[in-house]
Amino acid sequence: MMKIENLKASIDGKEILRGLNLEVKPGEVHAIMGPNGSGKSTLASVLAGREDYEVTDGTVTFNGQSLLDMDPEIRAREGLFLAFQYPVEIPGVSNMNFLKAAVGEMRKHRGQDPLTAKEFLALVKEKSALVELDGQLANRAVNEGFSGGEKKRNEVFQMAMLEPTLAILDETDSGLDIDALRIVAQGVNAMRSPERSFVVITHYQRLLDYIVPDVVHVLYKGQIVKTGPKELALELEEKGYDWIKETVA
Amino acid sequence: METKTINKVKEWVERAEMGFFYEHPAQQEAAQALLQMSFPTTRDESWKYTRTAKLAQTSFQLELAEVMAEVSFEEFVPALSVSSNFFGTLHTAFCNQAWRCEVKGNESDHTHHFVIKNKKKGIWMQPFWRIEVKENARGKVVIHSEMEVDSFLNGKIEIFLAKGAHLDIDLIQDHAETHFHLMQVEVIQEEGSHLNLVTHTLQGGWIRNEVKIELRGQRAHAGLSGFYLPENQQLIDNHTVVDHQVPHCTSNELYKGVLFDQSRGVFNGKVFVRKDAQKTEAYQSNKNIMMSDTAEMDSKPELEIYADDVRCSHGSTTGTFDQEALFYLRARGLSEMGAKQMLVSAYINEVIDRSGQPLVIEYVKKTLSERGRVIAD
Amino acid sequence: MEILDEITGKDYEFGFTTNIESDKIPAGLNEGVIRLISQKKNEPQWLLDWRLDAFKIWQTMQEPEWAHVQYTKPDFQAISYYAAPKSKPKINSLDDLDPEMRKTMDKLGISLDEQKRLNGIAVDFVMDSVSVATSFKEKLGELGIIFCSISEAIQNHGELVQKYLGTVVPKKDNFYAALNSAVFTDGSFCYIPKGVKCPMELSTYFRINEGGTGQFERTLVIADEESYVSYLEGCTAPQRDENQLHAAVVELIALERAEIKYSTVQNWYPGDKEGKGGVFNFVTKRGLCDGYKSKISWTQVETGSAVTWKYPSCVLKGDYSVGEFYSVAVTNHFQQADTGTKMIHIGRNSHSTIISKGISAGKSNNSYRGLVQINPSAQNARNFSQCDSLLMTDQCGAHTFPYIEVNNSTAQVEHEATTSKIGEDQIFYCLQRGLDEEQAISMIVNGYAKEVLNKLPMEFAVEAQKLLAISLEGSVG
Repeated sequence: MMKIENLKASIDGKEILRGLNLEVKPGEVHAIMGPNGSGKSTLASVLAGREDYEVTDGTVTFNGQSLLDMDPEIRAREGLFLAFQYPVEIPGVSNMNFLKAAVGEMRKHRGQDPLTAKEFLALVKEKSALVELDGQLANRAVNEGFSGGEKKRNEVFQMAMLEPTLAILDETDSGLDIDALRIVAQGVNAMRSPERSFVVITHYQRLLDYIVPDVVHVLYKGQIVKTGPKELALELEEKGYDWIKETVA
Repeated sequence: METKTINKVKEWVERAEMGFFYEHPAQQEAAQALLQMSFPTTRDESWKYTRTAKLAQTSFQLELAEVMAEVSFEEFVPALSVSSNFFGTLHTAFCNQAWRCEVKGNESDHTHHFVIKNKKKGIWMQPFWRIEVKENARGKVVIHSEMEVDSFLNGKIEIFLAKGAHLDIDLIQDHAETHFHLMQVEVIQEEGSHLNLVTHTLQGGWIRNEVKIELRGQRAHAGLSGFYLPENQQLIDNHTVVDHQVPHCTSNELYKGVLFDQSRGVFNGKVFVRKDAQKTEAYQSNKNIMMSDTAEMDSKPELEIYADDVRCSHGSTTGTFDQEALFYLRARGLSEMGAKQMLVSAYINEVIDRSGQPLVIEYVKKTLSERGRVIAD
Repeated sequence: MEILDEITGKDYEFGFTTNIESDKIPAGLNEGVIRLISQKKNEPQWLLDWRLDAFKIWQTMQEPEWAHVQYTKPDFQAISYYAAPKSKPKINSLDDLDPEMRKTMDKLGISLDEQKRLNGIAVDFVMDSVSVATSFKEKLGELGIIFCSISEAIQNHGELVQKYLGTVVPKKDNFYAALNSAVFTDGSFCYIPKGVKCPMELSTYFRINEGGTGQFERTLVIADEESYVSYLEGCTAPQRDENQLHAAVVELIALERAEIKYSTVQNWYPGDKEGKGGVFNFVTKRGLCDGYKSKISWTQVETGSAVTWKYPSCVLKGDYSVGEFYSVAVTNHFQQADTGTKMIHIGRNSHSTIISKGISAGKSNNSYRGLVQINPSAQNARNFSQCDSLLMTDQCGAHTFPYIEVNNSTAQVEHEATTSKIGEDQIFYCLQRGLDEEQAISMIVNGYAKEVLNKLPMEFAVEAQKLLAISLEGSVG
């Protein structure tokens, strides 16, 4: 599915990722944990193709192609989805129009016929139920006036609509109360399948109670310093990141 | 038509018994230039709302202003330059008094205090101040004008803030209704400097303040604010230009007025963001309360922006008193007058409190309260 | 962002000329020309006198310079002031139209066809100087609505024209208004009688076709007591190297409880990417809310013209009258726009709303200039203004020049303005969802302008959205 080799990236001349390696196979759920400033969000941004970051070394292969050579929208159409940590508000643009355009592009890219209005609405109805997003939300402007929880649910709703092969969840749990967290996780779990992989980026173990990972990685100073089974997350929770810092040092 | 206007200036200049004080070549040059100029009229965009006819028709005699106090200022011979506008040129030609102060170190607990006064009828004053704050120095300045009788002051304040300099400056204007007052404030700010200018217009018959700030060094900040409470037929005009020339500078502007009787208020603020001044953050606000049906407020907040990565906004509101609040206070037993005074003071305290000088804040509030304009808090 | 640099902006879609033989008088302006125009149009003496008076006034005036625009002033002697399609059709049915003219209309996507007839839109089509077709006349006639070219109105409804012409925009109002008053050749006229709600959108399309001509149309809309009309004008011009002058005057009069909704989709040729050619659009539009509770609403989507100078205004004379101004102005390449509105409050409890959305791209300059004036008589007047500017490149300029004059203590006037860059985060978010940059920008800009687009009649809102997208293609640097 995706293989990251020796990835180095910097912003404003400051190196954040310092030779990161990671392989995600189809159907796997990988959790990436790490202290603040370890490079978690940078990794998500680099994979999605944000221009602020400069990739200085390394390769990322995504379904056999070089991911780093693609424009952001091509990455998306190839099946890479980023659930943003801070989804931006786009005033005046209705969620529905936005999604319709996005779904249209995806289908075009995959050589599928466009959905009829009826089919589209049916899909919206089906997928929005996944995250218990009421119909009203779908008709509002993209993320505008949404609460933190609504924004995150909207991200998962969009993910369900776009059906990516690889979804990166960037701190999707931040700012969520326990109910919202449960709903978001429920949505993600419903989408788990042997063809679809997830990279779950989080600071806390809490989310992993709901979205149970196959593998847990610890990111520190721009590198994966430890990899283990799901129990590693619990260990981290208990001992804190200082434990890792000491181990690495 | 043309000859007539030229004659008017000439006549007025002659009536004022001109003489060149500093014998600086710029003075003669400016005097020559004046003969080709005329008093601005409402056809000039920057004088659209302020008439000069009355001033142009009055005769004044050029004299020295009386200096009541000059804490840490010294007299000096200014470097004069020719200006393009009428009053600037007039100032250059006939400037006859100049003081300067330099702030070198951290002078946070020291105030450069200047009080200028006039009790003499029919005179015309042309003072000049230069305030220089050196690299990383911090200074405090108060320029306080008390003009008691009919007279005309055409003044200029030049401010230079070096790298990392910090200046709190308060202008206190307290004038008779028969006094004409024009004050040009020109500020140049270098990298990382910080300006906090507050204009307290307690009263005056005809006041025009022109503040021009050039942000020449990155990360400089300019804060400018002012209040005005004109009554009777007074006119208070505040013109400001904040010129963002380089990236990463910020400016914040707040002018508030409460207008009584047949008074007039004018606000014209321009935020200018030059082509390369990316990451500029500029905020400008003008708020007014109309206390009388015969008062007039003309507000022109302008943005002229040539860079794209900027955050600029301005707002202007003009309206009536908050009747709900007024009623609430009266329901609690305050007289109508008392309630109004309380609300007015709450309104303008936002500006007064922006001063970086507690003594000024105290003085201004106390004075307004003693005069029954507001209730002190 | 680099991708966009590679994409060249889409060419002006409407830049075709129509090969129709035309009757064009030689260039130049003098009393003789005005007499000739008046004679060709078989006008009554009062109008000829009115024109000549306007010409005298114009000769004493100077071209205004206060707007934030720069251009080479037109040579008024180099313009032909009258050009009419020679085969001036006497049209009873649209099938009688000159086939070339039909083609023109089809290319414009104008709706003289059955489809839009079903939509219920009556169209008056003005090409160069004269009105060539007005549809739906009969149906409107049944309701007593007069909708025709102004030339026709002068012939058949002279008393109405004489009563109202120049009452809202006097001859001496400004340089271009005076010029228009002297030389206007056609335009639309509309009268809605008392108590009639016009059942369909009335629409006029203006097109400059001939080279070296100016277009000086005059529109007069009168809504009698308790009537309602929604009126739309569209504008296009062919691509030409030289600048063409368009100096129109639009006057609206709303009597007691009447409402006029006037929408404009302006897409005059903006010049090419180097700033060559394009239309000078110097237009005076003003509405008079004459009666109690009358209402005038201006909505404009401005994407065209090399230079625009235009301030659709409302004089709120009636008590409780309402004035509205909703505007989207897009400038790209070397376009310059100085546009806004004036809200003159005279009546008690008069209310006005101004929503202006400026979008600057390329090396263009886009200015909002607006006046809100509360006169002493306007007790409890209210105004709210919101003027936002969106910047697409670091080469363009966005300016806001509001004038707020308050002369009454019971007034409440609020003005807000913001200027910001198009959000890179927003673009990236769209890209991440698989949209390309063009789509992303089009979507964000349309969202930004939505408040205004929503005010347009439905069918035109869609056209306007497309137009915004086309105007901004290849615009982000």
